Amino acid sequence: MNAERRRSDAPAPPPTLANQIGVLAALLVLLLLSAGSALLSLGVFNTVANLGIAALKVLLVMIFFMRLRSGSPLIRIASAVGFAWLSMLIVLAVADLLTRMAPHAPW
Amino acid sequence: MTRPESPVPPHGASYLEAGYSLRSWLLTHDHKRIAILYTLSITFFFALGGIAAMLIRLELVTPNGTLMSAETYNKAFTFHGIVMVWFFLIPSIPATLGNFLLPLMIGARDVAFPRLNLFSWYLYMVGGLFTIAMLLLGGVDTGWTFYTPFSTMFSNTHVILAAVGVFVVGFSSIFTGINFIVTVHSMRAPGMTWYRLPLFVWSMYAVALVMVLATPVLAMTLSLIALERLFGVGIFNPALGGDPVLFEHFFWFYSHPAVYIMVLPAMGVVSELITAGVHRRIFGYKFMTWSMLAIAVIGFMVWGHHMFVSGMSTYAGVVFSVLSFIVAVPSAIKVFNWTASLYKGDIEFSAPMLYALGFIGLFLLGGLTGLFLAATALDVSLTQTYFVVAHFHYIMVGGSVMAYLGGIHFWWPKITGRLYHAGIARFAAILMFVGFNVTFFPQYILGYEGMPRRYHDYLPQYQMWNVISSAGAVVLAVSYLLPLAYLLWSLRYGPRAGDNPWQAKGLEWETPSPPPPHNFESVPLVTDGPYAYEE
Amino acid sequence: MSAILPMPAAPPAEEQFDDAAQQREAATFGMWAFLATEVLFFGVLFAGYTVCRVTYPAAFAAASRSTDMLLGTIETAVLLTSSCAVALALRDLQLGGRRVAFWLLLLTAALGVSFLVLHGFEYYAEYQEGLVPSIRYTVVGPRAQHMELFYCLYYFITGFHSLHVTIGVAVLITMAVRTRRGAFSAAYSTPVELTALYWHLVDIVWIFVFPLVYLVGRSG
Repeated sequence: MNAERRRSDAPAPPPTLANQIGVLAALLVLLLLSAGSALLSLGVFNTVANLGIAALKVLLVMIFFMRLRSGSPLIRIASAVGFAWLSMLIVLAVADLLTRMAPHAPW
Repeated sequence: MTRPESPVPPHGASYLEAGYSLRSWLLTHDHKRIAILYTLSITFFFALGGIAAMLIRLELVTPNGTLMSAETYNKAFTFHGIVMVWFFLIPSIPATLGNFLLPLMIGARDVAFPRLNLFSWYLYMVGGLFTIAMLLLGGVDTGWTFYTPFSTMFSNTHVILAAVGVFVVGFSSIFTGINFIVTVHSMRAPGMTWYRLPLFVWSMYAVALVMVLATPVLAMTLSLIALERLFGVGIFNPALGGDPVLFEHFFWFYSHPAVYIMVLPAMGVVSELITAGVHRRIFGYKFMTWSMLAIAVIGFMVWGHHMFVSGMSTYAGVVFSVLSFIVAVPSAIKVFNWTASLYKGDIEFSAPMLYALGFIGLFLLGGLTGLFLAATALDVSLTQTYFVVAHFHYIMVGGSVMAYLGGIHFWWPKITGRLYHAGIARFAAILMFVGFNVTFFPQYILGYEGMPRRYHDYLPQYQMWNVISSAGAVVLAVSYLLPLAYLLWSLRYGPRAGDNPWQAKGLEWETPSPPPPHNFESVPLVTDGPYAYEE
Repeated sequence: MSAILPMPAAPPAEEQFDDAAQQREAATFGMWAFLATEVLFFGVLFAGYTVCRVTYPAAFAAASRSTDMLLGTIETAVLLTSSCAVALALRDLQLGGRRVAFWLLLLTAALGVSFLVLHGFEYYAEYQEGLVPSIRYTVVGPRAQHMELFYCLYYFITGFHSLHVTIGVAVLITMAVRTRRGAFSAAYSTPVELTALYWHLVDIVWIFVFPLVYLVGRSG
């Protein structure tokens, strides 16, 4: 944006090698955790754990690989908006599904 | 990464003179030329959709099927819907006026991604080709809404072809949206802060947000229809335990925001026409900006109001009903503010102003009847009747089309450098208002009296209002042909326009008519707010 | 390559932009906007999955158990590694490198191809077992129809995903070739940056696909 741009022309320095490899290691550990925990009988917590771990992995990818860590507020909002809108679709559609009741005759 | 060889025009030459070859038009990067390409295309498709409308209205003059069979009638209203929604209304203002004016209004040389802009137009044309192919091969009879399982399992028409056409044109929309969002964020001239932007720019920004967030859902939904048709299995198939209502959730998650894609730009145009026509600031500028954003956001949360009687849960129905009432509030705020902007003003009743006033009245009627339909108890009786048809035509035709034409008339001197005959233009605007109401007001009555929509024959008691409606349609058609005639005439014989024939405020008026290829001789420095008319 | 070469200048900014920094910001923002559309595009399939699984949890568990969890886990690991590879490629370019970036971009593409090959094995096995709706579906039992919903979604999601992987591989190879030819430098690596963002999205979609397809009902 021309009008109000900060004169910080140079983009943020790239992350270190150690940082990126570290993130990959964390991702692979989380992967094994997810797969491993799926083999245990945890009831509904299987799903909770799996989706929670998936969300964590996605956050790691977005923050460290996609560099949201050094990104502008605008980019961070843009990165979240798709997910926010999708959750609107899923929440309201599932809410419909779960609240359908067979109508019964009033007599 | 080559740029087309276009000769550098001599100093003072406009964008229209920067190359006369077909290549210079078809390979242009200039947002102004792309806007013209779009204008030609959407006018063509408006004519096609209009012909379908005339066939429908002709058939409905008599209670029995006279002109066409039920199947053909189904194809006629399907074609009318597909073409008018996706090939006219959705692109109309954004791709034509938006493309032309957005960079000018923010003081930029072009949009952020000019090649992507051109690609968007080609996508539109490819989508259009698929649609014409679908027409020539016999059409589609599912309604523009493609409800399953009829569209996926039972229709014997070219559904996949239609779905592909709409899929492709959807990406035209998406890329235009991305272009506009980035342009508004990144390319404003020095001093052009957000709250100095004209409301038309805000409307382009809001509509771009909706385009970007809604259209991908349509794209996947259409893909699912095509896949289910091709393979005979899918998630909407009741035989597998699938849910046709799920299709409706996906379809309307896009298609309700789509109607805001159709109306937000119209609102932006009207704000420009009103301020220029009364030479005053808009009343409540910040409310106007935030109400457009509110419409864009809340508009995503109301889609279930198309599904009250579909088998959706009644509790969900209540939620969607309440949200639908809420979404009317920002629109109402805008209507109040336009009115307040005009109050005790010195109104210049030019053609653009007449279109803007027509918009306010007709949008108001259409919007209020939307509230009738948002009330679930009323909707049970009114849904799938002509009441709904009248409601959305009041907004889309009485609203959006009038605003589009008002915008064309207002910026015509800027775009073409020519003036048209003001008297005939005013006459055409009034004729359109009259023809529109004669066509569509009877449809509220028909719906209230119970006439179902999408039927090619009807009970005899509905005939009188149907005849009146069809008569109005003829007047309306004439009122669309008139501008086509005198505007084209003005290209050759109209007097040349100055930089600012309306004495309006805005960066687009501070450059020659038509503008030079790069819009401004030097980058503008903005120091005033929008609509800086002296009181 | 240890000779001291002059630092290649960034190509001039396109004429609608004031300078290279504005162009880079606009391009990156535009790509993020595009990625939001991809989230919503794939999101419809995830929404469909959610609705169907909430309705038929047992059928979905049964169908998920028929997928190849080992292959799925390996595929996930492959994509995660490829994300790291492309991130490191971009990093190398931005630090003035060229050779390492070239090989890393090729590695990313190769990992993408490996993913497709592994997935091809999965599809082949599933075809053999008669788990492909409409084409070869031999599942019987009271839940067969509802399980078919799972398989439809599975093929739709992985099909669209594989299409995106294929496009990504093609773009990565193009970027690798351009890198080798010296098109990029510390001052200008925007196309690679955009490619990397796209590739990360492809990875993100798969991160969600993995538990939903491969890990349902695995215990007991």
